[in-house]
Amino acid sequence: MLCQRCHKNIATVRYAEVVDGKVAEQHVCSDCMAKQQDIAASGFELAGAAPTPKKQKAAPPPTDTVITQKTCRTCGAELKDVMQEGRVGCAVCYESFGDHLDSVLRGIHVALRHRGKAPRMDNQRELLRAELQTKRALLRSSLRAENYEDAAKLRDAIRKIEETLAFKEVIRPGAGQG
Amino acid sequence: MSKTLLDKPAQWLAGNGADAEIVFGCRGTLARNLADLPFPGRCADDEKRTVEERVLAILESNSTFASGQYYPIADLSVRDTRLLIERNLISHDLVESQGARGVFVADDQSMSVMINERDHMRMGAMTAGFQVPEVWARLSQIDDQFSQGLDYAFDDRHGYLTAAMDEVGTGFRASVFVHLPGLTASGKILGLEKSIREQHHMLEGVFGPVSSAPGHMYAVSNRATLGRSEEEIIYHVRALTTTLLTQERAARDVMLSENENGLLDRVGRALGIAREAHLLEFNEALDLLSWIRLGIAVHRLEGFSIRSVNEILMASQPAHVAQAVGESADAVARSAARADLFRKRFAKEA
Repeated sequence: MLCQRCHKNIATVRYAEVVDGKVAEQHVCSDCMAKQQDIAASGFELAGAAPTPKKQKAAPPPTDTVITQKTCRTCGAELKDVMQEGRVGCAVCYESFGDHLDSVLRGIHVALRHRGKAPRMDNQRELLRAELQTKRALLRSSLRAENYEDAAKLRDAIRKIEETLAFKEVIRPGAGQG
Repeated sequence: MSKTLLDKPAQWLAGNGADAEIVFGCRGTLARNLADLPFPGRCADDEKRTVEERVLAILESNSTFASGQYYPIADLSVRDTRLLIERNLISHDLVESQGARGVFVADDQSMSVMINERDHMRMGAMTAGFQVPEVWARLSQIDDQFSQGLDYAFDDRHGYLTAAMDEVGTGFRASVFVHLPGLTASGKILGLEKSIREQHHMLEGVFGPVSSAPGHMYAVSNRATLGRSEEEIIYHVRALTTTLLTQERAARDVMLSENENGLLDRVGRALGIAREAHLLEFNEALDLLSWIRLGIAVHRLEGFSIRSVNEILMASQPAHVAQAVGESADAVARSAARADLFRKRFAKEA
């Protein structure tokens, strides 16, 4: 079934809402659900609190089109408990409950892709690339804040990293080692 | 153990860091889990013991952790755990959970590592003044020591995997503790709390909800841990706090220029009560300390230091007072002991 809001993506979530005392139900895609949750989150949610069960009740996870595990295959955690408590049981839960967790994570965090430290970043090129990403994001933030002093420093640092990366490409094209 | 800990005031109370007249200190926490075991909430007893053994093996063999000690929660009295909570070294979650768990505390109390709290490991670091990058540097260095011997739960997309979904990614939470009597008096706090929340951060009261915030003490922290690197988290927490500091200074200037006598009256009355009271409840003590701290910060009260206010704030917390007067003391005896402490510290000869 197509999303009943954007009519573009496949509907993965059934969304129920009480309007004028009547329950209105729609099948929506995860993007539209996220937009809806962003609207619901502002103004009510307590800062810092783990995602509340209330928010999840509006979006019952079972779907007709996408089959998602309800129990983690490794630790046995159940999806409804995870959604209610805002806590998972083990590392594999993040994989087991995939889309359902994403909709919660989207409401809390800035983006759904990790940036920053990693346990074994011994590859010099990867380290530099990660640093470049961070510096570019910081440059955008400081320009937005009209902090031109920081922005100038960041621009210099970015140029330096880009030069180093380009130099490394020439020396060892395609090589993983820096 | 609590006797030795009480004898040594925490290093971060020094009150000498940057912007110390407003910033009480900074704290950072870093959550990490082992890859091959369920998170503590779903760990069996023997699995929790395995986690404890693996982390202890590193604590005991690595020179980074030479000056400090590990305390299993089972070996601590209720009073000891309350004392550690008041010193920001452990959390309620650690005390309330079950099975093998404990905390490593550095001798200078600037760092702790909780084992089997919400996550297998939660490292914490504190500094005096406004020094967020220093807090991260310390945590990252400790983290490097552990990561050499432990296989962390991590994937490229979600980063470091944590039990709570609001910590996944970097697992890094940076907090700055600030004293905001000016912004509180001007009635701007609730509006600020809302705008900070909208910017993926949070403003919380340290000793109670933002709406009442006893002692006018607040914590500014990042809410988002996924999608921003540690460096970006530090940048945004610093930028947000810097704005708050500017606003607080402006609010203090307004207090001084529009109603200096009103301000001096509050400070003077607070000092008068501190010198003469014979019974003091904790919330009243916090209120007195707030006005005295403000008096020192705006140079209208001489003879006392921010450091002394920080130390007395720590010492007048309920478990600290109970520790000083003995287990059997009732609420009145504790209030009397707290008032005693104030009379001595703020005596005219001081």
